[in-house]
Amino acid sequence: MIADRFGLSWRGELSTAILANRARIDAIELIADDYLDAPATKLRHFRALAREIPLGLHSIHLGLASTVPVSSAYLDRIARVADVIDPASFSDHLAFVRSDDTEIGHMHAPIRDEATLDSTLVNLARTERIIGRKPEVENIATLIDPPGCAMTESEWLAKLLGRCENRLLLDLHNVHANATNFGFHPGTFLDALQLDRVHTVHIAGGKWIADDDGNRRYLDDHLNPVGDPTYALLETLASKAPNPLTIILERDGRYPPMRELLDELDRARAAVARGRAQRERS
Amino acid sequence: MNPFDLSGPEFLVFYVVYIAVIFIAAEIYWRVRTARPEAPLPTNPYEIAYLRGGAREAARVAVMGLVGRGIIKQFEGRQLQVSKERATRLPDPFERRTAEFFGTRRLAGDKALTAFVQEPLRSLAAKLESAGLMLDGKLRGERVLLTLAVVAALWLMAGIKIAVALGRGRTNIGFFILLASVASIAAIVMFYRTARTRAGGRALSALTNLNRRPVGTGSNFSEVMLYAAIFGVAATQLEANPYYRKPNEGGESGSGCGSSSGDSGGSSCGGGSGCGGCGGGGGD
Repeated sequence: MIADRFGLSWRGELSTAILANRARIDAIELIADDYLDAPATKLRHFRALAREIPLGLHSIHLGLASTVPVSSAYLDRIARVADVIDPASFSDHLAFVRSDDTEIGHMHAPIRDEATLDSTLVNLARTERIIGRKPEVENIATLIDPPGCAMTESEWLAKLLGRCENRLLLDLHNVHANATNFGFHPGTFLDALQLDRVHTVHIAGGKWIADDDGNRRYLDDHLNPVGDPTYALLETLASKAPNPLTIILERDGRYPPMRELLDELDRARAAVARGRAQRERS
Repeated sequence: MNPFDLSGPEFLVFYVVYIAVIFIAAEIYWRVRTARPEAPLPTNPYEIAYLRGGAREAARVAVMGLVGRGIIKQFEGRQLQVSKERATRLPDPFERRTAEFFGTRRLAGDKALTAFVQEPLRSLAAKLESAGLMLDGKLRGERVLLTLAVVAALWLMAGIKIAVALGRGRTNIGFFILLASVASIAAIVMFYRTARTRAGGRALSALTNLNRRPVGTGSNFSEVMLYAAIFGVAATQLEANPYYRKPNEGGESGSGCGSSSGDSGGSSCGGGSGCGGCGGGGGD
């Protein structure tokens, strides 16, 4: 039997609830950016926590998928946090976040071509060298398909994974959101990837938004409950992925009572159990 | 330089520095001796409360838990009721014993309650000791020796100086004796201020820092219990705490809750102004 884990992203608002419900939470994920300026004492508290429960460190501003090099200053700060906390894993996004010295303030989908691929590999190697850990790379959600792409997202991802040994942090809600907005089949997307490289999974919720012309888009907002399509994707993934998975439920605001988040984790457990059962049968 | 040849005021300055050096050295030794980098972070509310404030705090949190689940209920005037049937089914021996206390005693207070629950408290303490969070028998013995060593070092220096002074016909040694006495008392206070190890202090500090958001109306029972264990029952934002009951609700003013009614025996408990009479108030 594969020992999958189910956990939550650590937020100050949820901290007591997470610790009080440890019996139903197998793992946590900490946003490194929230603690870049934290004193070592504070970070050591997370180190104590990391000894009790598998803790993944997740950063958001490396800008790995870019022809612009990852910021050395940012890497140093992340390295400091990682060194003190000693997390079980470290991850960031395959996104474009800065142009030379200008931070654009959010994550953009990269232009999916060979040049970005080459630069991403350089950034991954540099990140590993400075942080001392091979980062897991996460697929992102986007509302705008970057112009000038030579590959689909799954082709680009598969190619990247084929040229490095990094693990893929698979965000299933991002897959669902992109599939919804750009009209591809999420199952086909998964089939195109090396699922043996997936150890960590993100699930989250989103909502529909409309622009001035009334065009609807699906937004990955992390403020709503996980939807049925994401659970269905999780089941599909569990039926195909060979490794134990750590499934992290991301929630960034409008926090409901913990029992609702725990119920969502239970639904994720049920979806994975169904997927694992399918895998055993086949 | 022979310090015993220093003049009175000069020697006092020297002695104060000597005290500081002795204290710092002893504190560093004790911190290193009681540090356990891999010590666990406790999550059981009673263990946390015990680590924070000893038997009394653990008992207060237990009472809050019993009130919250309705096992101790019906605060009317000085009356309370203990559901014996539910109390005997409690899986936690500490909670069971605490409920038993309220079902059998008529006169009570924090001290009486903590005395009554000594047996389950001992196993609670034993767990914390084996985890390296509280001083075990061996470390308590070492603490005695360390304190004696510090006091002996203080009085060795003081004794020689006093002998030298008396030998030279000086009798103005009163203030010096007072200083040595105060330093000795300070040494005892320093090493006996807590039964926690350094690892225990760090664990408590980590729990305090990791749990900054107060629990509120949306919190479930286990969250409120954990928060009360870390910060004290009174810190759980009593009015927003769904498990809070005023002990004297609808009754006489003043603290405490009184004798029994209903399906059980009862008790009175002195002091406390928060959840569950004896369990209430406090905080830290």
